[in-house]
Amino acid sequence: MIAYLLRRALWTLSVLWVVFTLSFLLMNAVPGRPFGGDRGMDPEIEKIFRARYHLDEPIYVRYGYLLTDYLRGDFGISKTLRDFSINEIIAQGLPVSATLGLLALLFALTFGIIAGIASAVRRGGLVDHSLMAVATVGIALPEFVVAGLAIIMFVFILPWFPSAGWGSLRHLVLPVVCLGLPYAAYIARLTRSGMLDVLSQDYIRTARAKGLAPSTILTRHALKGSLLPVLSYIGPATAGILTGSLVEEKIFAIPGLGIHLVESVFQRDLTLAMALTMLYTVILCLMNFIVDVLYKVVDPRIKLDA
Amino acid sequence: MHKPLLQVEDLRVEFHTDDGVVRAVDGVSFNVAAGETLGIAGESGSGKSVTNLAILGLLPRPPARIVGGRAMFDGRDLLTLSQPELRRIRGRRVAMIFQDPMTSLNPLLTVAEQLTEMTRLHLGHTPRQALDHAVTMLEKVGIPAAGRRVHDYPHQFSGGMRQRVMIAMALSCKPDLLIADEPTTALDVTIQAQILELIRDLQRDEGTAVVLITHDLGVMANLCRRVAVMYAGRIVEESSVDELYSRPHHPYTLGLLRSRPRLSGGDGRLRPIDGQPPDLSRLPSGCAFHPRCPFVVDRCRVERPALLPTPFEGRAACFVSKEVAAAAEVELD
Repeated sequence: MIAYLLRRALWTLSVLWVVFTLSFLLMNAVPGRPFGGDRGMDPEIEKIFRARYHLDEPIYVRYGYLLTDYLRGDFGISKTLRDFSINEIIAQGLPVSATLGLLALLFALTFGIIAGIASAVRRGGLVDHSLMAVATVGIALPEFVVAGLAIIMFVFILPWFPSAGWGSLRHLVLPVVCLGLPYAAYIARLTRSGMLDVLSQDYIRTARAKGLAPSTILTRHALKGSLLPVLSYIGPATAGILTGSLVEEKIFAIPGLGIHLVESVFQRDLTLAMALTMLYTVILCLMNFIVDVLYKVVDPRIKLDA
Repeated sequence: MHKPLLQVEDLRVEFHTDDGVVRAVDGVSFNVAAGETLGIAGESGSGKSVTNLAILGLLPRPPARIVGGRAMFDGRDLLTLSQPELRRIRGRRVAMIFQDPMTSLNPLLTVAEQLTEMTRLHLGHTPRQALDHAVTMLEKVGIPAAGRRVHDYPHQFSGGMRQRVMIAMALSCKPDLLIADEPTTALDVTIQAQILELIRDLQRDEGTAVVLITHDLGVMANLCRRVAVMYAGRIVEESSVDELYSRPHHPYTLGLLRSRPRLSGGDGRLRPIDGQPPDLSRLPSGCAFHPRCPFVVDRCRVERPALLPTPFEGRAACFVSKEVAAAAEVELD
């Protein structure tokens, strides 16, 4: 186990290094000068920038400087948000985005799994067909369409929730549901097919031959196995929710990191874009690592050390 | 005469598929007395497993449908019991072991979890009692270091050991009847003998009645006193083991015996039964075996023979059973 953790940590570090290097090279390859743009830049700030990022040095020296900064956990300064360091921007935005993302993931898992099990158990019935119809629509519709429809429905027609903003529970509902919905739909389908697959296994027949009640068979013998596909989907779902939250934050005016990432790209705020890219990469690696360990917990046949 | 423990009468099971109705079990009757071992033999698809799954209500419905018959167990018809009533019988009074021990145990639960849930449910054991009992059962079926291994997962056991675990589990509530559906088919030949011996010993010690389903006549001869042979969803012959092996009255039984390898006698060649088992949704007219039967007479093609007593305390469903028996006596002697 310890050997696995070490190997895994090394692997993660190399992934981060590759992403860092690629992002750095891409950042340098962006056409135009970093200080170009319609309005140009305050010469005072440009001077600070040139000094801070060693812009007069050759590229490999800058690469070295930036890498050392990142290793120290210092993400530097932003071109557009002058009053804050990037670290401060992250400290403000990350809790907001993390709350939104985690709640959406939790919502997707809870509703997806429950709906999936209900469909599998009532296979071919009305519950199954209606849930899977909703799920198919949920997968097919892009986030901004769902969000738009939700705002029309629950802000304008039924004035239950505020249309935008952040700070109270009521503000959370619409963005969390809109962000989580496609993933809930996909998870429902995964759970359903996983459950149907498990229910046709020989060991379920054994469990029935033992005289166990259907509810016991479902929870003790079938549930774990049917969730394995869902577990492996949590990694990609996290990635999707991270990018999805860029859209939701924009639509619902949520002061998270997503807006900063989008803006930083449009404003050619390359230092901020780079920092946020790295942050998202770390989150994704972490999530995948957690999933792998959970896999081992659920399925004893998997050997992490092998 | 013992009152039979299980009395199956005229059981009929159909499968409704896209290709039409398949009569998987078509009027099967047999008895099992307490403590007795009955063998049910036949090729794949002859309906032997379906018969026993139907008795315990374990067939998926749909597509399966029980269209007739009774299965009297302890004065009650299992086919008419509600699911909760059946659940009190499954595992507690009638236990099953299956063909493939690799897939019949849940890979995600420890052996302890799978053994204890049964005795906790049926015998009201506390977790502690159930665990002790599980260890005792594992020792009884010959699993070394049972106290430690009880906490292992199925994949940590070999195939033979897993079948032992299955047997320990099946017998843990001291059932009156054990249905063993091809318990040795998936195992190595050397392990097969061990498992059969184990079943025989346990049966002797516990007095459990056993229905042994198999296509292996050697296995059957080892374990059973009475044997029923099934073909195309019907019992075609039933008699004592000695009788069946020395003087079969049905040409299908004779065919099965001929197709076995034997150490002595004959020219050492295997003689398979010609043709293929019939498609159950398109059964031949008359006797289902007639297209493959070397003894066929005209009557076989139009009329279906009933299962009638033979002069030797068995029953056979064949119009020419006397001729078959005479030919068999000469050949198998």
